[in-house]
Amino acid sequence: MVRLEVGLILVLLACGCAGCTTRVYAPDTASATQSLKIRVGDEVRVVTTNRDRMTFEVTQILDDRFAGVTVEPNAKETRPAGVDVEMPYDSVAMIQVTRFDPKAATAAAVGGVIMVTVALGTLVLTGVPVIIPP
Amino acid sequence: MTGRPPNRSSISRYSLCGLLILASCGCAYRPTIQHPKSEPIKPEATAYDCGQLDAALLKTDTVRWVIRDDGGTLETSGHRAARYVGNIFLVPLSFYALGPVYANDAGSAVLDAADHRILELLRLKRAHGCPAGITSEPGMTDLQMLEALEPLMPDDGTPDRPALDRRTALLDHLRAPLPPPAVASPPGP
Repeated sequence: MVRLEVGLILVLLACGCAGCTTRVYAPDTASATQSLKIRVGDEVRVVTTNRDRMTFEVTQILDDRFAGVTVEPNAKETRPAGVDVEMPYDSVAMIQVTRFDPKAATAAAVGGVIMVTVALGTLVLTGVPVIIPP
Repeated sequence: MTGRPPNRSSISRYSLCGLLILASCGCAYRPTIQHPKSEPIKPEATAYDCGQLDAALLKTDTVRWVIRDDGGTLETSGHRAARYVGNIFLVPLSFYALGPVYANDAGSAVLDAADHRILELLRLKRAHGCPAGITSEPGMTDLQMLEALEPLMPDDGTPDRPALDRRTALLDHLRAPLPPPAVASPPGP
C-alpha cells in the first residue's frame, strides 16, 4: 500500500512539474545576461545589484533590458502582483528562469508511465501490503 | 526474568526526537531562491578593466548576500565530517520515522565558492592597479580588506572556526553602505 502510495505521489509530482525546467544563473556582465536568451512568457525570479528581489513574467525583450509584470511575490519579495517592471541587463545579479520545455515534458510523461508500471507491478507480484510500523 | 516488554511507541518517540534534534542543525538555512555555486574566475575575466571588475564584484557580492540573508554559514572541516557521519545514521532512521531527512551543509559550499570568487576578483583588481573602493568596514578599503582576507583564506589547509567567523564578518561588510530606499511620493494634484 505504502509503495503504491509513494509511487502515485511521485507520479503526481512528476505530472505537476511536467515540462517546466528551472535554472539559476549569476551572470557577470550585461552581455552574459543577454546570452541567457530570456523569452517572452518565461517566469523569472531576479535579485538585482541593489538587493531587490522580484518575480515576474517576461512580456517584452529589448536590446538593453527586459520588461514584465510581477506575479504573486515569493518569500522576501515586497512588490505585489500585477506591477510593471523593467529590468536592465546590467543590474541582474541572480536570475532563476522557469520555462516550459517540451523535451522535459516528454521525459516526465515517459517517467510517469514507467513509475506507474513499476508501482502496479510491485503490488501485483508481491501481493503483500506494506504496513507502516507504529 | 520478567522485564518489561519494550515499549515501541516510546522508542519511536525517542528516535523521532533524536531525528528532529539532528535535523535542526541546518534549520537556519532556508534558501528562498536556488543558490548558484559561483564559478572560479574564467581566463577572460583577467582582461576585465577596473569598471568591469567592480561590476563583477558587485554581482558576486549580491549572490553572497542572498546566501547569507537565507541563513548560509561556513562550516569547518570537523563540522563537515560530523555531518557526514551523522547522515549515515540519520538517513536510514528518518526513512523509518518521518521520510528522508538529512543534515545539510547550511549553504557552506555555495558561500565558500562566492567568498573565493570575491577574493580572486579583488586580487585581479589589485594586480590591475585599480583604485580602492569603500566598504562598510570602518577605516578599510576593499583592497585593505583583501590584505586582511588572504591569511584567512589559504589556498591549502582548512581554516578553524575563528578564521571562518572573521572572514565572514569582513566580507559581510565588503559593500559600501546602500543608499536608503526611495520613498514613493504621493500622487500630485
